[in-house]
Amino acid sequence: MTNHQILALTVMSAVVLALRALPFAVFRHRKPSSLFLYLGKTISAAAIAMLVVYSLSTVSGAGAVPAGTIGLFSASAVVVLLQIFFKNPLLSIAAGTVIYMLSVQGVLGKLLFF
Amino acid sequence: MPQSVVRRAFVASLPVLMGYLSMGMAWGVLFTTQVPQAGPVAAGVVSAATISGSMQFAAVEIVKNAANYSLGLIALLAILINIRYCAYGLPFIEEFKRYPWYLRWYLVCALTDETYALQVQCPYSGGGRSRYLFCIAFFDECYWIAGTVIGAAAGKLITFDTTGIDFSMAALFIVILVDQCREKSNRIPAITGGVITAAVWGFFFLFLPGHVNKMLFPAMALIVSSLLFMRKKLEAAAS
Repeated sequence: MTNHQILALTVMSAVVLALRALPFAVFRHRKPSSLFLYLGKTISAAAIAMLVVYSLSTVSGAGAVPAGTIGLFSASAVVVLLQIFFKNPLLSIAAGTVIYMLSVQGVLGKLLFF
Repeated sequence: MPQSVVRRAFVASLPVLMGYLSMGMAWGVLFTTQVPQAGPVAAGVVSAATISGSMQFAAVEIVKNAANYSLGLIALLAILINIRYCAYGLPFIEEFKRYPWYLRWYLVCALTDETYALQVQCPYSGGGRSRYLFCIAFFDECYWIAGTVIGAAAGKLITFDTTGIDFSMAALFIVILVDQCREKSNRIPAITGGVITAAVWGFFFLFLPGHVNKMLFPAMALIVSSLLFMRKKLEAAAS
């Protein structure tokens, strides 16, 4: 791996560890402000939603019309529905990923239309 | 160490064993298929140093296209993705002060969503409590590292076409989002984050193609400022 890749990973784990330690270092003697608690509660869902959109935009082959785009939307819908009804993360992720891989590699199109 | 504490902690951690092993394997496969220079050792090191599924799944794209991400952007992303960990420490602040420094630091550094959920349900109040908390954290960490190393090794052996396997990263975030949205108070922040990011992406796609990887800074700034802007309304709705 290049130096920048290793640095990137180091920064990520350092930040994660710092966040875990933050309340113990900062809030030992005073209570966290209500603004801090509000952001801590609301940013998580907003950040994950941001990651959903962003990671969908970086998935390989997503720009290929129509196989990639159709695959992206149908695989995402499958993940949402499976997770809502079965609450099994691995099932949702595996099913969605297989559907997307089959469609972006052109296998699904051949199976369904030829 | 009394055996019953260890055994009780192990039994309590069994659901996490299933979850972490399988999710860890998914991440390991993704990591070594997307970043061909990495192997099981790298996966194990990253897992031991981070122990965070959402961070590590995001890290795959960042490491794969590292040139697109400045260290400042990476740090900001890490803060936004994991800011929830700040809140997890709060109930334990007083208790951990009484523990020896090495135990305190280990428990702090090994904190994850699932470990936290098991630790707040600790059945011991006096003796055995610190041991139980340690066992939960340690077992969970082992499951996660083992899963990612196995997955990374499997990823090295895969010979079929893995194009599109990076969808699993998006799928993981969708899964987390669906679970978060079961709680009503998370829905408006989630919609805010999704709509703003989609809008910023659209703007870059139309007007600044080729710079789409720079969309995260403005997206994060807009999300945080709109959350601050909506604070009164959201807090009124929550109470």
